[in-house]
Amino acid sequence: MEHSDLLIDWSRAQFALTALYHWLFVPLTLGLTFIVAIMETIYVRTGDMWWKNTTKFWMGLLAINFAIGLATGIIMEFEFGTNWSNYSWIVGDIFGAPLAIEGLMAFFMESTFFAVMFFGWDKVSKKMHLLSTWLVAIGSNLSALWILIANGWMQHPVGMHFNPDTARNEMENFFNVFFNPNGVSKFLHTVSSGYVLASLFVIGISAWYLLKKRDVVFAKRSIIVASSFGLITSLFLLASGDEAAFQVAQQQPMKLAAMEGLYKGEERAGIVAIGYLNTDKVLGDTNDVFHFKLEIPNALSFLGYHSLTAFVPGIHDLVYGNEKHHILSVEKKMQKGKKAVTALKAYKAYKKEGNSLKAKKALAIFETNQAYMGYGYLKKPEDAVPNVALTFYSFHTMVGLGTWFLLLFILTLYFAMINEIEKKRWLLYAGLFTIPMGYVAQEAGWIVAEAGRQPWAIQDLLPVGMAASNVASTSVMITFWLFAMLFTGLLIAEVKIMLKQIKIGPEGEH
Amino acid sequence: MTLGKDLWLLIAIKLFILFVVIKWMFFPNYLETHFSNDQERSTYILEQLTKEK
Repeated sequence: MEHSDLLIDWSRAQFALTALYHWLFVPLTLGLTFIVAIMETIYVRTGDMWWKNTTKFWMGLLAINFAIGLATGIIMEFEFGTNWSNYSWIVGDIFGAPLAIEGLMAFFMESTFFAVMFFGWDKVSKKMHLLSTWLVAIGSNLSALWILIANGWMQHPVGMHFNPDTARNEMENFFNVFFNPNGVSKFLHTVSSGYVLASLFVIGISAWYLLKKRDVVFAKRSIIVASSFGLITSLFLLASGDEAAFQVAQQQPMKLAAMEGLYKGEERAGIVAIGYLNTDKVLGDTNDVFHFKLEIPNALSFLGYHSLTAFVPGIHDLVYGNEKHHILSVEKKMQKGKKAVTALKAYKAYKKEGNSLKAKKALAIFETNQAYMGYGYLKKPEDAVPNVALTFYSFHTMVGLGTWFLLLFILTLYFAMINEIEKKRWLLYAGLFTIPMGYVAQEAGWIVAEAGRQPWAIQDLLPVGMAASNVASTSVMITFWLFAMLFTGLLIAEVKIMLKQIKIGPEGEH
Repeated sequence: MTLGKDLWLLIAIKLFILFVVIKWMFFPNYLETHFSNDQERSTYILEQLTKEK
């Protein structure tokens, strides 16, 4: 399959565009549903109508985000069928089962109870309404669960068997797929990042009201709820991020090396707190990796392997091998991968001839080398290296902003609790301008996850070049720009409608 | 409830564009349209996976 680089680049660009735009809508829904549910719980427990109005205001903004974001993810499923048909066929049941469960259970649960939540005020009992609100929160997070289980499988394929007769992966153990540590840690880290974003959103908008000296009580109480929720979930985000990095170190060491710009593996490896990469650096040369860097000693060894002295392999070790640490070179993996591909071809031919003995032998060779099959399609060992600068800067942007968010939650909670937050105008401005930073951190996180695992569509088994369909690159270009216009239109609509509702405020119509 | 009406309208337009315009005009399922059964699809994918470069 000799797809042109142009076709693959456009197919990837289109998927990246749709995924990144889709992710502008999703995390706010994941988190704001819980914040709204907490506020409504306070209303039901206290009977204070003021909390009901507060809940309804934030629910209105949630509804805007939900309505505009709704079904934006379906475009990626269109792309799977058209641009990534080889991939779609090969993943087979593994993607089908989680996505079907998501469609049947989570999406319908979320949508049904969303209607009760948004339109059911005064039509159902208080407790039924509250239950609906909580079920929307749980349902939206369950939707994310199944998608992230599927994504986790792409990063660390487990629980399946490749059927050489159908060219499809068949699920052997649902629980291995469901409890895939990569998928579980990705789910926990992703949803908790949504909780943090929603907290930033509530704090930022409330800060704007305080800066305008309007709806002061509403804004202060909203900040207390959002800061408390944000602080707790930020700590959880930190813990889940640690677990996610541990999983990456075990299953995708090349991604970890790229995240840290680590070319030469070392024991007691440090984490680069701040660094400026040398763009002239090429794998194998003697140039310095960084123009400058500030490092936290031993931290990468601890993050990746939970040991201060552990060896962390660098890009050089992973590409060219390291005998001392039993790391196979990509060249050797490519040889094994080519054996797997050749054996699969022989198996197919012998099967067609009806020579079952030779087919069985070919199948045995295929199964021995199958774990490296994807390497058989690489042209050179260096193709196994992702874009280091993109992965490094995205990772450090995400971590740096995450640290700032934690500090912001501490400050806003403290000053709101001592009733001095409206005097701290610098903090209010900081809260307001942190809203876009929340989105930057979200997108950066996904860039680390997806760009950092290149060249793989399925880790070690299928590179993106083999996953793409043989379609015309011009049609992919056309739809890329079509989506760019559609999504930009939706984003503009979201921002305009939200700003209008925010200006109306909690006392107005919603 | 003007917000509700605006959102319903937006959802309707968006779903029309997504499912009628984009899906129908630009995103046919490649394997569904090029092959008539799963056997043919499997054979095609196996050929792709084992083709000499």
